[in-house]
Amino acid sequence: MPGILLTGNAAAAWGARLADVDYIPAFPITPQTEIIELLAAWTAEGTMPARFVTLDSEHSMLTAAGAAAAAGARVFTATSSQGLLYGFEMLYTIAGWRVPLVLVNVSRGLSSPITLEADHNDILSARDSGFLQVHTETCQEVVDTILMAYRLAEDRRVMLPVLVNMDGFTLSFTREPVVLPDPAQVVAFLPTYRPNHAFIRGDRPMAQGTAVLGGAVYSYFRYQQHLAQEHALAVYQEVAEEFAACFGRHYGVVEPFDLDDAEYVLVMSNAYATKGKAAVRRLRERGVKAGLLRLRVLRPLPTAAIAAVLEGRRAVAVIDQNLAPGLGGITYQEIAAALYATDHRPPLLSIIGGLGGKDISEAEFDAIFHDLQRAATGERVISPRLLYTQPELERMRTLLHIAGKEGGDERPPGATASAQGGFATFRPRSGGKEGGDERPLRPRSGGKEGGDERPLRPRSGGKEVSA
Amino acid sequence: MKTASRILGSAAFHAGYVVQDSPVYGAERRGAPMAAFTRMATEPIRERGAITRPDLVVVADDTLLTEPAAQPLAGCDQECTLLINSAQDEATLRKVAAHSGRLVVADFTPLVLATTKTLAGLSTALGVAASALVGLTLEDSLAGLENELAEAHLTPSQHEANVQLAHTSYVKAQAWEPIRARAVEAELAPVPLIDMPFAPPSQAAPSIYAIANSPQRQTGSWRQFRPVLDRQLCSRCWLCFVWCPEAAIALDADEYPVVDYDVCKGCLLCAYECPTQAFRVEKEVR
Repeated sequence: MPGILLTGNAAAAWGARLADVDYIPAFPITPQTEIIELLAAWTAEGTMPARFVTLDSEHSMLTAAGAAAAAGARVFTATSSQGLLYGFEMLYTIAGWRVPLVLVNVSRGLSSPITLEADHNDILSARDSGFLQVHTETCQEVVDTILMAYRLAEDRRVMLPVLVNMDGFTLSFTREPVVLPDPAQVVAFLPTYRPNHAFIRGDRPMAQGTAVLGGAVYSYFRYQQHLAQEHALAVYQEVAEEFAACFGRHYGVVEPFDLDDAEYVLVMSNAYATKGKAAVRRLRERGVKAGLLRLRVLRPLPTAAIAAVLEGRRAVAVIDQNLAPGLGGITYQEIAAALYATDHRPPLLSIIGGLGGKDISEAEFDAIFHDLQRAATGERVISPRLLYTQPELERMRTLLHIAGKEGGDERPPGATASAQGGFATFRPRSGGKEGGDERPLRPRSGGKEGGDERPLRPRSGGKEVSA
Repeated sequence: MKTASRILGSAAFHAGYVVQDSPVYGAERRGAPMAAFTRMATEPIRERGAITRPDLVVVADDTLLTEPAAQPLAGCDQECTLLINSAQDEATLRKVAAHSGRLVVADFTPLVLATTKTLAGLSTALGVAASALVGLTLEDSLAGLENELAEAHLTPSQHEANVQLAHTSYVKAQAWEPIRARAVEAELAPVPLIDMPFAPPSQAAPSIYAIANSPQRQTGSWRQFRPVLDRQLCSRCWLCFVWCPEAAIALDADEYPVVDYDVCKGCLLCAYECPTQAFRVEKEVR
């Protein structure tokens, strides 16, 4: 087996190192931390000639990233989940500056409740920010995509920042065989960055991110981002062809798997698509013509390519590892829109699975294909459908019991009892009489009632002054 | 055990297999239960995350067998080989584990402590033992070990001790017949999906009404070494009482520290901080 074993995080760090980036603003967050730990070590020991700077937050980090890109540096940074949301304002701002940089997001479910494992509400919240988005399935794809992302971002027909997504745990902490691209070949594929557009120099000052008043001016700049995203589709094809010529690995905007004669198709993205492919092969062994379409480039969304692949299938299920409460699966809506204008729209099921990193089991994949076969015959099936089983619900009920939450709708007044008995109340030990350890609500006063209370506003001899 | 999983992964990769390994953990505290998974195959691996039907399960500490937060035997069926690092006898462990398949019991801990002076060496012993059990050669196992030690920042003598430990562990494990991967994947029983029922907001929000129940989470089983106080040496300075990160040390009526061994995780900060060396450190024997 060629290559070395690398985690997704290490692959991302290698992507930045091979891309010969100039500047790395950083802020750690699980499950991304290993990326910046490696880059910090390499820059400190001098094996990577880049400037590594820790910032006080993801908001500052993204601001520094955009500003450095505006100064003509090749910039890499990475975050995850809450960090992406904390810096969210700057995503739109940087895209509006029209500066190229690559931001890796390591997907992790969003709070509340707070968690660590992957789902895609974090990355998909940024889908309208103006950043391009490429979602990866393997550790190999992480390093390759970062190199492609710089070509895409820095192309004058695009000139937009790129978000590269990988799943927390299932990629970030998972080692797989990775072939690191040869540095000399990387230089041929991705030459040194020579900015000729949005960069600030001491001898050539300019104003960046100016204010505009008047919708017509704003509309002009905003819509330019959309046109650049549309151009990015064609540029992507060129970059992918060139990458394949250099390194022998081809990545399309979408990846078809066993689709030639497929009747029943899963649409998936990111690391769990691998499990979807395993399910397809199992179904094929049982004689079901199954296939899978993996979404890779999500912004710009390759609607024509998606529609061309899915049109005319007997039934299609879109598995969203995300949830838009009040709507359902996010990419389902986009796939449905892509198919709307086609002549042979397949029945289209919406599946919600893998939230917070929940496994998608073989049995659940089987259930999806069962539903697809029913939908193909015109039967009504539940959609959207959450992948959730009876044992999981029973486990949930046990947890609610432990949390003291079985029974009534609302918290009973004064409820303190632990469901398992013992430790029912917690009060400091007191040598005094019953209740003597309770703190009074207001300090006792030796003087008259309220005498030690400070008035809410200073007493004034003069007239009342308004603030 | 993440390292043990990686030693096995690197050894299998060195032998020419396609490999995938991954740890899962949430509470990143030394001693907390954690799991790591290693897959090896002759073709691309299309599964991810936890292994549903393992061929081999290695349990580093027998207290994990009954630990609800760990459940190391999940998915461990008749065809799964179970290797437990334990000083207990096979009959007792078979009963505790309720495992009907092949069971291998070995106590690597004394060997590890004698060779590397630290329990971290258990990763080396069990990683290499697992490599032997899946039929990898000594050369592949040592190559796997070297790959992981390269990132461990060990001194030359620590490095040498681990290599020596690996040799001994491999020879010990070589006496066992290698496991065979299950011939045919058993079909899993279908688990029907349900419709998620609506829950009232009190149950739909991730709040906890039952207060002060964290003492019920007893962490004494995490302990490998036990701090034992010698009252003759104790000056009652209370530093251990202050330093204990788990508040597992109380003061008795005479103001001597008392360790709650149901909760003490064996971090030994008390022994480290004690100015009069009043704590003895004893290997935990269960």
